[in-house]
Formats: sequence, C-alpha cells, structure tokens
Amino acid sequence: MNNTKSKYWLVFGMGLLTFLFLLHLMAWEWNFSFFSDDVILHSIRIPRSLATLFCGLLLAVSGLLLQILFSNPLAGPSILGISSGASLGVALAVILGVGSLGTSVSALIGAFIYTLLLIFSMRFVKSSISLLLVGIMLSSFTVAFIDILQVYAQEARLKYFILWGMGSLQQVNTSELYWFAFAAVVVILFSIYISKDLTVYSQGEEFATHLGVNIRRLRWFIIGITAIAVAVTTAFCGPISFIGIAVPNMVRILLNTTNSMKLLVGCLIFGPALLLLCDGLILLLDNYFILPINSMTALFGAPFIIWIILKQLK
Amino acid sequence: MIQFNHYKVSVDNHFLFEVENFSIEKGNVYYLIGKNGVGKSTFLKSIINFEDKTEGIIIDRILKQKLKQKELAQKIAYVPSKVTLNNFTSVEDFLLMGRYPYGSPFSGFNVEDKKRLEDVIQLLEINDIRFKFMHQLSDGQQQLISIGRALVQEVDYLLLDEPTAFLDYYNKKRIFNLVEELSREKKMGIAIVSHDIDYLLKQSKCIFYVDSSTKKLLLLEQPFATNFENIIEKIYQ
Repeated sequence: MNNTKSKYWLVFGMGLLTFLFLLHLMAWEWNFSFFSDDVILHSIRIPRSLATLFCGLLLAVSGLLLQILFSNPLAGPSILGISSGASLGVALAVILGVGSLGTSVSALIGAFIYTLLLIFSMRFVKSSISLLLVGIMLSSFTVAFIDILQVYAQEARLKYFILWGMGSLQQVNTSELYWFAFAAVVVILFSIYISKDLTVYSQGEEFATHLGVNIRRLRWFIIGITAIAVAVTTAFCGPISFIGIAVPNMVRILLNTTNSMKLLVGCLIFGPALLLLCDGLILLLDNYFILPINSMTALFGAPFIIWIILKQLK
Repeated sequence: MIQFNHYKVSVDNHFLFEVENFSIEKGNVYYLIGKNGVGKSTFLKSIINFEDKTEGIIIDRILKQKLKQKELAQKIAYVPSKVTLNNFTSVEDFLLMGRYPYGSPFSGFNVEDKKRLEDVIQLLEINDIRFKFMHQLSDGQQQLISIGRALVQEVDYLLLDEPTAFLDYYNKKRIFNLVEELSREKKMGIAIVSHDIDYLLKQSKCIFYVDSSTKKLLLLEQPFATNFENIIEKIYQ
C-alpha cells in the first residue's frame, strides 16, 4: 500500500525532472529545435542545464547523508558550515591564483576538514540545536576570515571571488562538467554501497552496532562522500544554499519511509528537479532582472526550514 | 552455548563485577536481577559489543574475539527496554532491519528474508499492524516488534534488557510467556535483566543476582519462595 504510493511519487518525479530539464534547456523558447547545430545550445545551454542537474543531485544526496549521520533533519551542507569550509578553500585558491583543478582540491580539503570538525564537536554537543549553532558559528568565523583575505586580494581576483560567492550555474565549462560527472558517479555509487547501513543507522547508533554495522567505517564513507559532493559544487558554482537541507526532508515526507535506498533515489530525482525549477525561473526573468541562484533557492528553502523547525518543536 | 570464564564486566576501565562461571544454554531462560547501577545492562551490552575485546567469552565453542561483527549479529541479538523511535519507520521496515547481518551492500531482500518476515508476523500475530509506523504503536506493541526483529534476525541467543520496564501487567505477562515459548519451541538461549522479582519468585524461575559485597554473579539458591524479605536483603543490602 505504502510501496505503491511511493512508486507513484518517484515516477511522477521522473516525469517532472524530464519536463523541467527540457524546459531549462529550451530556456522558455518555444520555437526551439534540438537538432539545430547551434553554438549557444552547445556552449551555453547544455553545460548550464547539466551543471544544474549535477549540482542538484550532489547537494541533495550530501544533505541526506548528513541528516542521517547527525540524526537531525536540520542538518545540511550549508547550514552546518561545510559549504563555508569549501568556500574558504576556494578563497585561498583564488587569491593564490591556482587553476581550476587546484581550486577544486582546495575546496575538497576545506570541506573535509570542516566535516571532521563537526564530528569532533559532536562528542561534546549532543542536542541537535547546539550542533546547528556550532555550524553557524563555524560559518560566520569563516566568513570573517574570508573577508580579511579579500582586503589583501588583487582587484581582478576579488571581482571573480565576489561573483563566485553569489552562486551561479552559468560559468561551468566543458572540462569542469567532466569533473562534475565524475563526482556524481562516485557519490552515487558509494551512496548505494552504504545505503543498507544507512537504513539501519537511522534507527540509532547503538541499534546499528548491535546489528553488525561498522560505524567507524560508515562515518568515514559519509564524510568522504559529502566532502566530494560539497567541494565540487562549491568550487564550480559557488555556495548554493537550501537544496541540501530542503530536498531530503521533502523526499522523506513524500515517500514516508526510512529505507535509504528509496530516499536516495528520491533525492537524485527531486534535488535536480528543484534546482532546475529555481534556475529555470531565473532564466524566465532574465530579460527583466538578473537574480543570483542563492536568492532563488532561499525563497523556496527558508520558509520550508522554518516549517520543519516549527513541526519539530511541537 | 555462550560460556563465561572469569569474565570481568567493566565500563570505561572501571571494574563492576565478575562472571566466574556462567553459561547461557540453548533452550533455557536466565533471569538477572540486582541493584540499579550494578552493571547488569552493561554486562548484556558487552556481550554483543564487537569492540569489547575482554577475554572470557566463548560462543558456540569459538572465542568471541575471533568472530566477525556480522557473525556475532547472526548469533546474538540485544533488545533494549525501549526502541529508539524514528517517525518514518514502519513495522515491516523495522522487522526487516533484522536481516541486515545476512545481506551484502548491493543486494535487496531475497525470498528467504521475506519468508522469515512472514513467519515472524504469523508467530506474533501482528498482521493487522504490519503497515503501521513504530511511533503509532503502544509500548507493549513496540516491545513485541522489537523482539520480533530479533526473531527475524534468526539468532540463537537473545539478550533482553528490562523488556517489561514500561509495560502494564497484561503485557508483562505476555512478554514473559512469549520468552518461555521461544526458549521451549525455538530452542533459544535467553538472558533477561528484570526488576519483577516478586513475579519471578512466584514462578520459581532460574534467577541469578549480582552480589554487591563479593562483586560476583551468583545463582539464587532454591527454595526461595519461603522467605521473600531475606532475599530482598541479600540482593539489595
């Protein structure tokens, strides 16, 4: 009974995703042909649509993993400060002037260190709200540090960094898309690999140990996977907020299950769908005003998070 | 058979009590009683804890240290006094988690897993609540499902940590009867930590207690129904 309902949602999500992807690719132009040998299509639209797709799924999956790891529905890459760890890495890389690959590696190290810091602080703070406060403090500390770095940066690099910080899905080039695709494959495969452990782990850490789950190994997997996902998206598209926290919660409510495999598939479908919708709206309004992607995701995400907090406090 | 030879129970390097000579045999039920904080729950958890390498436990003639984590979970299951609730876990999903030690990362649930689930649902007569969510159930039902999960896990030994702590008299009797039935018919070896001394004494069960002066696990000698006050004094001093 429950199963068929969640299957309908997944099929519906697939349809929605396809529709939104095509709409995004067409950029709301109805006299559009996929077979034309168009420069704009190949060098601008296809990379942007694919980047949005990859970003959406990477952020949603990392959010899901973090929420299970911290057993906290309010966890997510941006709210826990992992994105700002990646941002710090990017800031350092940009100011030092290393290339695209260097930026990604630097973001990866930043994200990894910040996730480790969170795990470490979890030993001392038990309540979910305190953990969020630690995350928020971590990000404001980082923002301050980045601000200081900016004072000493050269003009051109500063401009690049500021634009990057607003978050944008349109600057991704083809070679970066390969990195995106590679990260997506790695993240999806490893998430499927640990999905059974995740299902049992979501019922409590002690429960999972007693059933034979290797907790330490599972934690390292989650940290590694989320660090890759957050680092790649942050390095190429800037810190995109709210997708990571909103989508897993949405999927959990729609599918009504703890089965991590189903939740994972849900995140892979609805994550890109939501981000394609947000970026699609930006494309639609493009002629009138230019919006950064973060303001769009926040418009959807912020009310949603307030709703979850209110539901939790009840 | 789980054998204990001079097994020392400790928490964070703090010695609690010693289990000199005790064994959990298939087809028997053992009740453990004692003061709060004496370390009964710690004892049960340390048996199932894979990372606890303390010497002195032999499980089915194999040293515990030689078993892999999943092998241990295929032999012994631990049932806490209250399950951790997750608002999105249905009864069926919860029961199927018991199949985790038998699965591999990419495999789904096979025919045997499904059959095992159906058997347990039949045995516990819970067909009407199988699609409900865990948090919607009463404490008694939750406890029943929690034991059901251990049965789906197909273990030989069951460790129950105060299974009746949150239950009313009717459900208490139901759980105790179920436990006796499982040991009789499924030939499971069961150890139960309990505080229902008066109930257990009335039924003259096989009771062990932690003696706080010698710090040892001892058998409560029979016949004991004659002098209840003495026993209470002996255990709780």
